[in-house]
This record gives sequence, C-alpha cells and structure tokens, in this order.
Amino acid sequence: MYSKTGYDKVMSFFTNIRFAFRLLAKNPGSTIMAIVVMATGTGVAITMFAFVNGVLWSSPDFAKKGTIYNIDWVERDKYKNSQRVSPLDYEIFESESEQIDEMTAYMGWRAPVYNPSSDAFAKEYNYKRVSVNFFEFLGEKMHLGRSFLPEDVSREKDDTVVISHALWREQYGSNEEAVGSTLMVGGLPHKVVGVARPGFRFPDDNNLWKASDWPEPRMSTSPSGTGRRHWVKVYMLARLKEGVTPRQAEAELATIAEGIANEYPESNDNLLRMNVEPFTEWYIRDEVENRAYGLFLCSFLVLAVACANTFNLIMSRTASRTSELSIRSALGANRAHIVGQVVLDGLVLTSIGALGGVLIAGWSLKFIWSFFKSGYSDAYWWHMNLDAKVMGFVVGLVFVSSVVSSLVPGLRAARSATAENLKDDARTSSGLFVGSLSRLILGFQISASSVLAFVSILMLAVWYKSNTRPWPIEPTEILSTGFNLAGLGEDEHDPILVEAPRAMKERLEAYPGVDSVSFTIKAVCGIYGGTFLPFEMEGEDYENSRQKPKARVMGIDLGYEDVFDAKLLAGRMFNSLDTKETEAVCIVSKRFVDYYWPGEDPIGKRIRFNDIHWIRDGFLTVVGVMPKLTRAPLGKESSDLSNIGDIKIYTPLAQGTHAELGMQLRSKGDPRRWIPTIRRELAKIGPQYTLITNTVTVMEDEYRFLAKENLTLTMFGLFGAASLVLGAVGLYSIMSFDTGRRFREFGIRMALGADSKNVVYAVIRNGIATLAIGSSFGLVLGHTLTVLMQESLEINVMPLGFVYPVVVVLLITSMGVAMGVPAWKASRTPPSQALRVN
Amino acid sequence: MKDAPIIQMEGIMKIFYSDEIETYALSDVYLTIKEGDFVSVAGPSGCGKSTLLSILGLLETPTDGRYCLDGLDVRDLGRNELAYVRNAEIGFIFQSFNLIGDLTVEENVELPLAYGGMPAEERKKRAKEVLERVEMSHRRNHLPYQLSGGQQQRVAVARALSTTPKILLADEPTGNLDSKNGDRVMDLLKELHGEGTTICMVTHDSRYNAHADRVLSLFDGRVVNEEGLVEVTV
Ligand SMILES: Nc1ncnc2c1ncn2[C@@H]1O[C@H](COP(=O)(O)OP(=O)(O)O)[C@@H](O)[C@H]1O
Ligand SMILES: [Mg+2]
Repeated sequence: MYSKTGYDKVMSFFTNIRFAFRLLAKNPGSTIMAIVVMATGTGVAITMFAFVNGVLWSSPDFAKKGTIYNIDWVERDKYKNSQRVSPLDYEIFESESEQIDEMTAYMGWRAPVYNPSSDAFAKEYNYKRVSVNFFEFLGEKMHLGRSFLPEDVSREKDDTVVISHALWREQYGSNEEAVGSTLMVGGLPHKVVGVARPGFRFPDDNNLWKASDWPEPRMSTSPSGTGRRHWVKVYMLARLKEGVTPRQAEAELATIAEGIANEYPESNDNLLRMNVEPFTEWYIRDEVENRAYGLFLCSFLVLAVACANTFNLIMSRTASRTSELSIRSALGANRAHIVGQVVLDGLVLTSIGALGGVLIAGWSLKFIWSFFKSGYSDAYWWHMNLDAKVMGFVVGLVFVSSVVSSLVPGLRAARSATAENLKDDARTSSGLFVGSLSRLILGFQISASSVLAFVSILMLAVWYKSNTRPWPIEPTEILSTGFNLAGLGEDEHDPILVEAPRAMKERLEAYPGVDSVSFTIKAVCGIYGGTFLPFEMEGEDYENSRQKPKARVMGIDLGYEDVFDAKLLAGRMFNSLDTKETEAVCIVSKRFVDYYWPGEDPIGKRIRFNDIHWIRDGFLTVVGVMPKLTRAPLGKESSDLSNIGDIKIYTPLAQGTHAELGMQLRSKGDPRRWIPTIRRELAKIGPQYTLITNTVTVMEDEYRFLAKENLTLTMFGLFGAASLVLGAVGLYSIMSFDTGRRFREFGIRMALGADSKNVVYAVIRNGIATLAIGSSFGLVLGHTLTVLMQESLEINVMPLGFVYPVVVVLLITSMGVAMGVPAWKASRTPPSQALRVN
Repeated sequence: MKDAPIIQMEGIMKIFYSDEIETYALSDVYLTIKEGDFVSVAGPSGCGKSTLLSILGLLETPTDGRYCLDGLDVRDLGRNELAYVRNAEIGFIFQSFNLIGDLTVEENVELPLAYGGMPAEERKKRAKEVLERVEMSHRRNHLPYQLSGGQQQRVAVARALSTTPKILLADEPTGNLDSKNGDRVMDLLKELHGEGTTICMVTHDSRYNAHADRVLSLFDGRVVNEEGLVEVTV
C-alpha cells in the first residue's frame, strides 16, 4: 500500500471533477433537465428565504440594544380594535407600571411639507408625533443639530421637528443651515432642530418627527369635544426591566388597564386584554399576516419536489453508469470511491443548478419586491437582498440537497457495482435502479405537484374573479387625490375652507376636457372609506354608545353625482342651497336603508352624531338615497357590520368641513394628465399646499388595494406552475429513462408483432398506477388544504367546485404529455434499431 | 401450395445514413424463397446478413427495391399493418435470445399470442404445448436470467413457434451457445423444417449449412454465390 500525499489527493480530486464534467457533457439531456430542475427549486427556495430573512426576520438597528416591545390595547370588538392607547392613558401606564423600564409613544400620518426658503414644490412625507424621549429611548444620536428637549413642547415656543437625512437631502440639498430654519409642515411653521442619521426612518418609513407633550397634544385641527375618546390614540413602545418577561408585563398592564376601564367606562368598556410583543414581530403580524407562512410552506414543497426530481435524475444517471462503476470496482475502487463518484456528479450538477437558481431568484425578488412595496407600507429595515446570510443558505441548501439526492443512488451503485455486471451474458435489463424507491419518490412528487396545482389554480380563480368584478363607475376616468388645507382661515368653521376648493373646482372645470370635480371628507378615492361612527336615530333611546347603530360616514360636495354617475334612488342630491344657514341634511346609501330601515321610506327621517367636528351638531334630515357605487364583493354580501363599507351616510361639505380633503377629477381619457394643472391651481390657494402622494386613478387605487392579494395569488400561481412543471419533468425523465432502459424490450415486442398501441401501453403501464395514486392523494390533500385556507383568505363564499375538473384535466394533460412523449417516441423507433441496442 | 414463392425480393437496397457516412448494407439483392425452403445465409461479419434478415422480417424497410411477402407488397403497409404481418406470419430467433427480462418464460411465450388477440386461456394452453415441445415447460415460471443460455434459446424458439408462423427467421441462433446446446437448437429447427416451416437462418458455423437446402453467400451487401439442392431463381 502506498500512502497518499496531499498533492496526490488534490490531483485525484481534480481528476474526479474533470470526470464529473465529462459525464455532464456525455448526457446532455439529463444534465440540462437536472440543472433546470435544481435551478427552479433553489430559485424558489432562495426567493422565499430572502423574503423571510429580509422581511420576517429583519429588524431595525438602534444604538441602544435590547428588545423594544409594542404594547397593544386589545379590544373585544374586532372592528373597534385600534390596538392603540389613548394619550391620557399612556401617562397612567408610564407612571404606574413597575415592570416597564422606559416607555415612549408615537402616532402619525402623512403631511405636506414645504420649504419656504427653496423654490421646490411642496411634497407629502410620512410624519410622526413622538414623545420627547423618543430618540433617547432608541439611543439615537443626531446627524446634525439636536434631538428633542422638554422645552420643545412648551406652548410658548415654536413647534419643532427633526427631519430625516433623506428629507434633508431633498428639501435642503444637504445644506447645514437647515438646522434652525423654518419648515411648513401641514401648513404650519415648524422649526427644524435636528437631522437624523442616514437610514434612520423609525418606526416605519418616516421622515419627520415632531415632539408632542402627551397627554396634551396641541393639534392643529383640535377636536371640539373634550372627552377622552376625542384624543387621537397613540402607539406605545416599551423596554422591559431586566428579567421581566412579556407575559409578566402583560399581566401587570392588564391590571392597570382594568383600573382605567373602570374609571372611564364610557370610553374603555371594550377592553379585552393587553398585548406585549416585540416590535418587529408585531409589525409583521400586522402587515404581512399569516399568508407569508403559507407561501413559505409551499416554497418548501417546491424545493422538496425539486430534490425528489434531482434524486430520480441522479438515480437514473447512476443506473446508466452501472458498467463504468463496475469496471471501477473491478479495478479496485472501494465503496467510498464509488459513492464519492456519484455524489460528486450530483454535487457538480446541483452547483450549476444553484447558480441558475440564484439568477432566477435575483429576477423574481426584483419582481416581488416591486409588488410588495406597492402593497405594504414598507418598513425601512425591510429588504429582499441576496446578502451573505442568504448566500450561506444557498450553499448549505445545495450541499444538503445534492448529498441527499445522490447518496442513496451512490450507496446502491456501490452495492451493485460488482464484477457480476461485467459478465455480459446478454441477459436483458436488470431493473436494479428504477425500483420501488424511485417510484415512491415519483409518487410523492406527483402528489406534491397536485397539491400545489390545486392550490394555485384555486388562487388564480379567486384572483380572476376578484379582478373581473364589474364597476358601477368609470374607474379609469376618475383621478383621486387630496390635500390638506390646514392653516387656511381662522379655524375649521371658516367659510374659506369651502369657498377655496369650490373656486378651484370652477377653475378646473373651465379647462376643456375636464368633466367634473368633487371633494370628499374621509374618503380620498370618493367611493371607499368613510369613518366608522356611531349615530342616533330620532325617537330612539340609547343607554350607552355601544347600543348605537353605526355606519361609515363621509362628507361630499357639489359635483359628486357628476363624477361618479350617481343617480339617486330616491330624494335629491345636495345642492347650493344646503348651507350653514339652512336645514342640516344628509344622504344615506341603499345598503343603509336595507340594513336599518328595510321597507320604510327613509326620506325625512332624522339622525344625529355626537361631537364630530366636521359634522353639524343636532339632527340631520335624510334627503336622498345613494345607489351602490363600489364593486360587488367577491362573495355574497357580508352581514358583519364592521366589514360593510356600503352602509354609508353622506354629509354635505357646506354644513361642516375638514382641512383634509379628498378630491376627484373626471375627464375623458387618462385623467392623470391633469395632475400638473391641479398642482398649479392648488398652489394658488397657497404655495405650502400639496397633493397627497397617492394621486392615482380609482383603478390604480384598486390595484394597490388588491396588491397584497395579487402578490399572494401571483406567488401561489408561480409556485403551482413551477411545481407542475417540475412534476411533469420528473415524470418525463423517469419515463424516458425507463424507456431508454427498455429500448431493446420494445424492439423485441415489435418483432413479435406489437403495434404502436401495444408499445405505448407497455411504456406507460408502469407510470399510470403511480400517477393515479399520486394525483388522487394530491387532490385529497389539496382539497383539505383549501378548506383550511378558505377561512384566512376569505374565499369561502365563492363556489369553487369547478376547480376540481380543471386540476384533473391539467394534471392529466401535463402528466400525459410527460408520459406520452417517451412512449410515442418508443413506438416510432424502427424495431431493428431498437434490437441493435445492447 | 408447396413451391410457390413466399418471399420475393427484387433489387433490394439498404443504405444507412449516419454522421454523413452512407453505409451500403445491401445492394441490388434479388432473392426468391419458396414455401418450405430452408435457406442459410453466410458471409463475413458486416456483410449485411442481419440487415437482410431484418428486411425479410419487416423490422426494417429497404431503401429501394421491391419485396413481396406471401404475395403482399410490403411497401404499401403501414406501421401497424407491418406489426400484424410480423405477428401472424413471422417468427424470430436471435443470437442473443432477446427474452424480455421482466416476464416469465411462460409470459414471454404468450406475448406474441397476446398481440395476435388470442384469448388468455387458449394462450396458456398453446404456451404449454410449445414449451413442452422444446422441453422447457418445467421452467415456465422462471425468469429468463434464471436459465442457462441454451435454455433461454429454447424458450426463444418456443416463443417463435407459438403463433405457428409460416416463416422462421433465425439470426445466428447458435452464436452464443456451446456446440451441445447449439446442436439441440439446430435439431429443433430441422424438425420444424420437416413440418413445412420456411426457414431463413444466418450462421457462421459451416457445419450447420449442411442442414439447409440452399446456402446464400453475401459479401459486401451483395449475393455473391449460391449453392444448393434447389434451382435458384434470380
Ligand atoms: N442502424 C445502422 N446504422 C448504420 N449502419 C448500420 C446500421 N445497421 C447496420 N449497419 C451497417 O451495415 C452493415 C451490415 O450490417 P449487418 O447487417 O449487421 O452485418 P452482419 O449481420 O452481416 O454482420 C455493417 O457495415 C453495419 O455497420
Ligand atoms: Mg449480424
């Protein structure tokens, strides 16, 4: 025996690699197939892992370490569950809790920002009011200037803001003189005191932070009411004291919350419990929900299918190497050598496949990310990059899957690679390799493909249904936008707040091409939305607010009926005679009448709201009934009050308005061409006013609204297609390997008088049982999965029976092609040629 | 109808095209075989013997020329019609036995009967008969790899016999056998010939040429010489 030197080992390794590559070139068909299969599988797996890594598992980095928890106030009624806390209660929690180390709070929305010292247009940015200790709580140092001081919330001083690095760049050209300058935020002057470090956008994708003195926020549109429920609620963040678990904190906070609820039953009677959860998890749960995990599961199924495919491919490649491996064993190769040979072949194959997978993942991540960004409010720490962690995952994945999928064939080869195989005594096929194991794996593959095909077709059906529902309006001709006129006029009752928009409407409608313009409150797009509010009907007594009926309430102005083609079903539309001086009126929707006053004449009935600053006090007389303007729901009409957007009350702008207005413009052709004109006209009211970022057609708005669904559905569809292809490829490769192996047998059969039909049958006979068992198993599993998913995806209302035949037909066609092509090929071969093969 | 020509070949040509190389496997072959003939085909390796047999057995179509089998011009036949004729009229015996490895001896023998549409029960009976004839019925449930070469070839003969073909084509049937087993197979063929089966056999072993009525010598795809007891029609 010679002992090997390191050099020899390296050389023999390279010889083996070289040989592995030569093998790839020798079997181009199965090589390409294996590479495609592995590329698809790893591509899907990497995509999902990058998503999990960059979104589900990612969290923002702060200078101060330790977990930040979000505290939710969970209420009993789902629809009322704001999960936020009244700023008045925040102080109580802060002072009474023993287990919380530090707390901070924020709340926010978007606001128009205008830099008077520049000539740039005003622009909308995300904006948060935060506690004075917000930056300190996170341990954040400013890039420039300072963070907040207690004096920033004093009434005598100017309002102060900290701006993001990005806003600083955009609005100030990164000029250091920004600190100390005045910035118009929401129409009001604010002093810039600091610039946050680059990249810092906490708590989501924020650009402006304003110090707020809970529990006494100075609100520009302060509510006229004074009760606790008039406060805009805040999000609470906390760091727990050392050794305190979230459960302990929850228990303590619940006790405090109960005290609050007892003391103020009117506003807190709905409390269920307190929820303490790490911020990032809470954020994800809120945004991405469980569907991501469903997709994750599916992606692993796809990966498993790909592995099974590779396994079978390597299995058949190894089978075709039987005599080569036998010669090796006759020449003295031991078991490890043989196994090593096969595993190396697999490793080379899967590595190339993985490279392709990275490419596929790169593209699909770009695609998904663009989809994802339009559907979800993006947190600044989210990404979908192929970073080191993901790459590590890929390497591990490839290694494991190739070893797993080639070890078994390798071991089998080692066992059967005896000199026996060299005695070419012309005995026909041994059938050593494509045995029961391959068949089992093929069966698994087919079941998995059926499951995925089933689920994805279902998803596509739902997607199609939801995207083809008819519109009662012209969604492509209506532009929806909005602006905030905060600061215009003395207060929110100043008539200028109605007159200025109406003058703007007149100017816009004078442009040839503009059909009509309207304004709304609490409903930017004009048809969806509205605020969910309790109201009182005349003549009814209510013990407390929980007994009151509720509806979605929105304000509308003249021209609404022109923009939306709304032909009232009864009564009249608002007109120029509905003013502050005349009788207070409202319009209700058809669904409202059906729900609250079935069979009654609504005209003349009176309803009342309590303390809503943009709705006139006292009773409002119903003067009209609005038809349904929204799209039909996917299933049957929901009977759960909270989900009903169509139970609506419309109030006239002229009898109570709001600084924040939605605006809709209808024109022939693409209405987006009017955006610059609208900007110009708005600037005439004041240069600090700007259109909201979300200026889109009603159709685009709908797409964005559906983007989450569409993303989920698209991904399910992709996985389904990928797995169906993989399943078919798997079946095809097994079948064609089997056919190749039995080539001579077909020649014999043909010599004995088998016709084409007989040959085709001889080929597919083996596959059919596997296919039948695998696909029926898959269908049953797919059905079960669907039943489980129906609840979460709210598709339980759609009749879905048609999916079954579609899946069956699809399976039969794809699998039929996969089996039929090799069979057909076999039946076409001249028998003499088949007989010549040895 | 003894003496009627069952096989008639006129100007048969077979060219194989592979990688731009044309191989003239057969050139201008004229051949007539009468019913009941025992023709032996001889010649060096690669001269086109197997190709000739393939064409005779309808496994291969000639590039040019006319071939009538039992009065039927095979040019006019489609893929499945050819299969039907093969099944009904022709029996094959190969050098390498060509039993189907996954089927038992009995199933192998039944296979052509099944393709001919014979009911299962009759098939079984017929298979038993022919296996008895080749003295292999005791092994009917074995798989081919459990048999010796001589036994496998006898099963192959039984399979060829099962449909009672008019023509038996044997391509070096003894090539893989020792002389004792080879003799046994040859004896079977002789017996069949005695019963009136037309036989066309390729053989290397000049001893077995003696069994034949005619010996056809091929060289480079051409018939170069014919010797025999019966007049040759060219
Ligand atoms: N399918 C084929 N493709 C190409 N050449 C072939 C094919 N079959 C046979 N040949 C060639 O035709 C010639 C005759 O072959 P064959 O009839 O098998 O010879 P024999 O049986 O006399 O040894 C040989 O040169 C062989 O290489
Ligand atoms: Mg030959």
